[in-house]
Amino acid sequence: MYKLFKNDSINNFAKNLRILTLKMIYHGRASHIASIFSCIEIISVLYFNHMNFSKKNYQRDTRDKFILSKGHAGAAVYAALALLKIIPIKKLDTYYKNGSVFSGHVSHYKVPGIEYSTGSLGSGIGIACGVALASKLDKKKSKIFTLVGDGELNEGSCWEALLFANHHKLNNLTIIIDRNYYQSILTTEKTLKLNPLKQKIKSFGLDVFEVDGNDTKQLKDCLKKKTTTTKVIIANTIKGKGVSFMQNNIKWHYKNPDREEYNLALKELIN
Amino acid sequence: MRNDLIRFIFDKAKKNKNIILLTGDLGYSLFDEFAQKLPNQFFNIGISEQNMIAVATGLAKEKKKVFVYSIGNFPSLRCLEFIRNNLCYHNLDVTIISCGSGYEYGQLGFSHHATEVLSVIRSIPNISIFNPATLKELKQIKRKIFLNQPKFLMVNKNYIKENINFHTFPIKKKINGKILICTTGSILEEAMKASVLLNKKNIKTEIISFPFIKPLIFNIDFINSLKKFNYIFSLEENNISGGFGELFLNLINKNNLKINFEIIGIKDEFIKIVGDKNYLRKKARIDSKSIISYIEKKIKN
Ligand SMILES: Cc1ncc(C[n+]2csc(CCOP(=O)(O)OP(=O)(O)O)c2C)c(N)n1
Repeated sequence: MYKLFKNDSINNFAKNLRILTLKMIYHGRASHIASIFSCIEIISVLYFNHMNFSKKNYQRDTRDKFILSKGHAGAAVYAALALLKIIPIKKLDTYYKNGSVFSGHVSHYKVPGIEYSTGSLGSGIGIACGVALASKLDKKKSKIFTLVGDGELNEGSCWEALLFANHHKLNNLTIIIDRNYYQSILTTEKTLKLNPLKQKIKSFGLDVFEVDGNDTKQLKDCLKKKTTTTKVIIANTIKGKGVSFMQNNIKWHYKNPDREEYNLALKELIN
Repeated sequence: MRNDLIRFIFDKAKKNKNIILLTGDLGYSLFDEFAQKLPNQFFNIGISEQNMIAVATGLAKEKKKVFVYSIGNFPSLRCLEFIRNNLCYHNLDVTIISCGSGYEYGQLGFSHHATEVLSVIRSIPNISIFNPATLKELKQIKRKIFLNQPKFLMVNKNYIKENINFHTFPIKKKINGKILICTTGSILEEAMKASVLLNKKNIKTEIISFPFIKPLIFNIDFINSLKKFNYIFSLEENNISGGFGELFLNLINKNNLKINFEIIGIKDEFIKIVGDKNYLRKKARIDSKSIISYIEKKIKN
């Protein structure tokens, strides 16, 4: 039914994620394909390589935990869980449809493996801080990860949480920023200037790194680095990455591909 | 509806440079002309609803007429205390435009279901609430939108078509029948569907739509016309707790009316299953079929 690549390498995992999510968005008549494509490598590295999270242990309390703060990219996480065989791949067909449990914004209700439901931007970092603090108090080995959009950093709640993360030296927490330079209408710099982002976050006392966020090797290496406080990874990405006509074109934040666009996109992803 | 409203504000803003429009990074392509022609009167504040209300407060304090735009729960629940302490307490001329009432953004998930907004905003002093459904209702609201005070305006992308007779409150002519449905906002369309079917079954049903729900005052004529109905139902696409129906009930009690009254609205629980507006209305039992079954059950008893 689904012609996918063999899930034997990180790159194939990422390719499969793009194919699956494109199908979900197309058939569900949903939005946010560009926001999803932007973070495919990040999700892939976390779920395929880095996190202590698998079909075997995902219900154990010792697992690593991922909170998707940019909830509108939920399809990428649902699809990753399907590739890990935690949810049946066939079920993804119901995404965005009546009676489904897979809503546009990530939802944990009856979806095994989803840690937390979001959709209102600016909540994930603070929640991840709480999870990380509890983990420390209970002396658990779990590591906590959260992925935020760069536009999402407009929300003051994100910066309150960064203060907190550093104050409590939450070195079991990694915050990944999907730095694609776009938000919902314009670029981040034209909406509400974020740069110099690295210096800003550094000034909070956090350990900041910058990588090519569509490069799985760079992400993997950076995730392995040990830090004394919370690690923040500025992952420089391309919004719409993987499909030439969607890249850096803000219209694909919203637009649902028509049949022709879908076929064109799929062709690029399969080759 | 939404586009017409923004066009209306734009036309007024061209003549009045004190009119300012803010968005919380929503409304793609909706503001292109506004932003281009009136760059000093339009600002995308970013994804920061609290700050949007704060900036609106400061502007309004300096005598600007401010409109803020966002969707669903973001310009209300997300920044609630800012609305209360800043806009409402200081009684400032800011109109919050919230696009997507009830289950309008159904499939996006629970975070986008605006099903408590009416109850919550209603409980804050000084703010007026407008919840129009049709073209005519929006027209009525346009007349009130420049009142110098906080206003909350719920809109949707589309109008509800006025395909059957219904009344808009405040009503002028005398009405009577057996059943009355009092409704607010776009759920009017379900009331209309229900009423067509009920009328076919010879259960004479009238509808009154309430585009203004705060302040809501019943005059003596209206109270007298209510007395003529055997049963009155309120209908809303909002949580029953603190919503339109409870507001209505208060007015019934205040006026010592002996009326057979029942509230139809969303139960005090979340709907977790995914679906579009029509699907979720069915699940919440506020669709036309459910309305009919409530009414028939009540009549039988
Ligand atoms: C509190 C809140 N306000 C507004 C929105 C609507 N919204 C959804 S996605 C989005 C843009 C997000 O931009 P960014 O964080 O840069 O993520 P990207 O899609 O670019 O990866 C907006 C404004 C929301 N979901 N939550």
